Amino acid sequence: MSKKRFALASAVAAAALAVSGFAVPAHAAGKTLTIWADSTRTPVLKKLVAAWATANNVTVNVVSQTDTNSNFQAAAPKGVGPDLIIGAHDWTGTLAASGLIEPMTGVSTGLFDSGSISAFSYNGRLWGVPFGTENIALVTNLNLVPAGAPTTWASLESTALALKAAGKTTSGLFIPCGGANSCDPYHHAFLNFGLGGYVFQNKSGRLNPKDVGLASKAFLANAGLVDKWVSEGLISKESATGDDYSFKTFFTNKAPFMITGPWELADIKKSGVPYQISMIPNPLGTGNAAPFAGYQGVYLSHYSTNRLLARQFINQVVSTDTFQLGLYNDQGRPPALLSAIKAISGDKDLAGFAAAGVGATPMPNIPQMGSVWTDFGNAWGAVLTGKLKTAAAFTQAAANIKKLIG
Amino acid sequence: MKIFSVKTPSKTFGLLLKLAAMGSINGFALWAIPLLLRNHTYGFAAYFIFATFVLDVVYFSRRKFIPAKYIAPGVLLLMLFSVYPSIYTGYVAFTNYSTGHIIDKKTAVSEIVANSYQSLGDATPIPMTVAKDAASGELTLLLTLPQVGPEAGNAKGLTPLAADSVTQDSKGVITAAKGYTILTSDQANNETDALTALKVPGPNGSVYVANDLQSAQQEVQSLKYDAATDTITDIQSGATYKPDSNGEMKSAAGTILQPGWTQVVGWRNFSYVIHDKNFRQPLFQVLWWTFAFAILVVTTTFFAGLALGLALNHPKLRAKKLYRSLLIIPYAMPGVLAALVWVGMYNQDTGVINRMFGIHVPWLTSPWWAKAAILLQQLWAGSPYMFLIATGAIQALPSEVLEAASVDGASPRQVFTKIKLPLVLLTLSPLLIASLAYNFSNFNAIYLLTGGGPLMQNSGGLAGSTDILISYTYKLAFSTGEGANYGLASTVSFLNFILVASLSMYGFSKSRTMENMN
Repeated sequence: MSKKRFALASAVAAAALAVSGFAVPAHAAGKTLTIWADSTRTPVLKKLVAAWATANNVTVNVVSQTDTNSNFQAAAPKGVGPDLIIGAHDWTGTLAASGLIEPMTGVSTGLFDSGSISAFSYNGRLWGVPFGTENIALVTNLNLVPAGAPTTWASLESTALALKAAGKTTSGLFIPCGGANSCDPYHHAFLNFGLGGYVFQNKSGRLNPKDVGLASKAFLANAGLVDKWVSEGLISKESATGDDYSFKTFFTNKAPFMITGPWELADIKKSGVPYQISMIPNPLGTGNAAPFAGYQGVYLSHYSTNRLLARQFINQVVSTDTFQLGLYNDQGRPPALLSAIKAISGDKDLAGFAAAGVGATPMPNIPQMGSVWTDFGNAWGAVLTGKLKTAAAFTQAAANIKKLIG
Repeated sequence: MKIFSVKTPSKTFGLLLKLAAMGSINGFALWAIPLLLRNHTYGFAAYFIFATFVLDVVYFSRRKFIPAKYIAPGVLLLMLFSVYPSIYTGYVAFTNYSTGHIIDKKTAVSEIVANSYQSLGDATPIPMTVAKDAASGELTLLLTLPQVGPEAGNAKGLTPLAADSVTQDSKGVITAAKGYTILTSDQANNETDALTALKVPGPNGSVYVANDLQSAQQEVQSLKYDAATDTITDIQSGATYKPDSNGEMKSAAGTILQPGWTQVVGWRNFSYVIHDKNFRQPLFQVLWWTFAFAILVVTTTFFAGLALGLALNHPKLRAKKLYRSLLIIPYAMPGVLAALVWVGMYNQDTGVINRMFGIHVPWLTSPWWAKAAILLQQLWAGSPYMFLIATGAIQALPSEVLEAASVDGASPRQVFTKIKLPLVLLTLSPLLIASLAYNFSNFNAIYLLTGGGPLMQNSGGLAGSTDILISYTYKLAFSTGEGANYGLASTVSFLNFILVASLSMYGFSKSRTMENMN
């Protein structure tokens, strides 16, 4: 009996060793940097880092993530996160307030577009190095408007309404929002800003979360204009009753104008509609409107065990024209480095987006912005579906947001 | 002898199977436990040692733990995947775990101090080479200071290097120095933590700090931590910051230093749920709809499934198998995909439902229609499951009872209400209770279809007309205040769990009484 048991035990031990033998973790030799990025940027990043990696004998792992921000927040404090993450500027406040990222040092901020630097600044420090910018612009359908893009809001309005009255179009200015229930206010926000509203008061570069200005006096005084534009059909209601960001009406010559960003450029070209990209005229007064702008950049994890190497990567790779132009060529977003912006001044579409981005409003990067999106979007949903008048919708939204921020 | 020869092969096969399975389990443990210990996850390591030991004893011991052989694997997995997360959620409910409070206090304090070093003047990088003192082996920064020249810096301070003892390249970077061993970049990278911690004292209270592996920066510290009094002091203004009850350093004037840390805050999250007006106001409506949703979904899908089951069980019906297979389709379709298709079909302008009938129903945008839309979609998605189990229960009905009823002259309706329904209900009541409990927290059903919307008026901007407790919790946790609030979310999940658990317990005890009556 005991012999049998011994045989049994040794068999189990043998099997156990066999299984565990397969799984001895490999230990990487030399220097390694791990970068988390979204799936669209991962392939191009891999190409752009290859030369530096070889020259410096570093293994650079670019890992594609579905939700970089929340994965990073979960992984970093456990010491299993990456060294660097590629992300949007409006993560800055959340990541910095939670102590997950390192402030940037030794970055020559003067070489970058000033908007992109302020977008990554929080509590007086720089927390990310920008490489791309994006903002929305006005796209004009040259089939319907052969004269070219309007330069004033009044001419935009009269052109759109004349075409509609003539029965040529069904829609005026198409501004996407993604349905009344889940309306994303990103594209509509320039109307708020143009009519005197703001999200958070900006006091010399620091945003004040206690001062929410979506229902500022100036905005409420002008709110009637939005109601007028919606009811006369200048501002398309489609985006609030539809459920997606479909630009069908524009592509089928049923809308003369739309508002969108560089991410839609490939589809616009594919549609074959002759187009012009230009600044969005200011809905009040002259000049251009101030749409929301977003910036992409790289953040350094506080938990990186290769912090110094990672900073070297930022200085020697991210802050170079080669890297920024490489991403521009792949992604179609203007770079953040001034020298790189200059290098592509011949790109007509980009010039249009750049003109629209002059004086743009960086999306607030403080954590309290998380309390804003839902109500801000719901207000637009209510206005576009005609459920509420503009003044009432934004008064309610501002009150709700103030309550949420507490 | 005959019996022996028949039984042996299967016994050997079983033994081999057992050895293979137990070998894999032990092998997994042998592989996992050192890794877990290395990553300092001692709790899990202890659990794996315990679990492997229990399994080895149960399956190899001379004593025959027959019942344990059946339940031990299940119980061990339940502990790992169900009991542990529940306890952890319960723990998080008592903490302030949220954006700004996700690291521990030690890290937070060291980060506040480390981040208070700011570069002095213009941030022109100083060429730097990482070296070790050839004699003492001490980590040293070889710096080429502007207007000063080459210096060697360690924790004690700077030592000028004689011009003839160093070799510099065209950019001023020191490539060799007498008395120092230059580190390769691989070696320097391995010293990252020591290098980051090394602050070389410079003039006027400034320090030189490595910025990357090739350059340094002159910085000045503005905050310092005193461990004895557990306070942070602003070196210039003298302001002191003390830990407050919410896990952050706060000055007398109310200024908070970021980041904060996670700590236990007692019943604060619970009292927030009870006392906060924004939370409480819409809670009643949300609760009402949570109950209505769960009960209506279970009853409508059950009766639809039962009706289908009875109809398709009729002895004279042909092609039963075909109908049954077709009915399984909604059940087999991935829920996420189906929900997205339904969102499209419900669209007020472009949706197929409105277009087909030429109507203009605001399916997803009116509070009542949205509720109806959800119930309808759930009816479609849920009744096949109910149909399946109802068919099973109907087929298991004792035929003699039904025959006896028809012999006694019972009408079909009487047979249904007096015999079939009570018997089916008796068999299925545990399943219905489980289904009810499931639907109480059926986040997907709500979130994918309406996202909880349309927004409820005067709800504090969060609660929607179709939000159930769990989807409301989700919004509450992730879109209020300053980012995500896991502590509060855990608190509400915990309360939701208690609600569901007590309902289920009540339901099961009821159904047991029913069985006893039988």
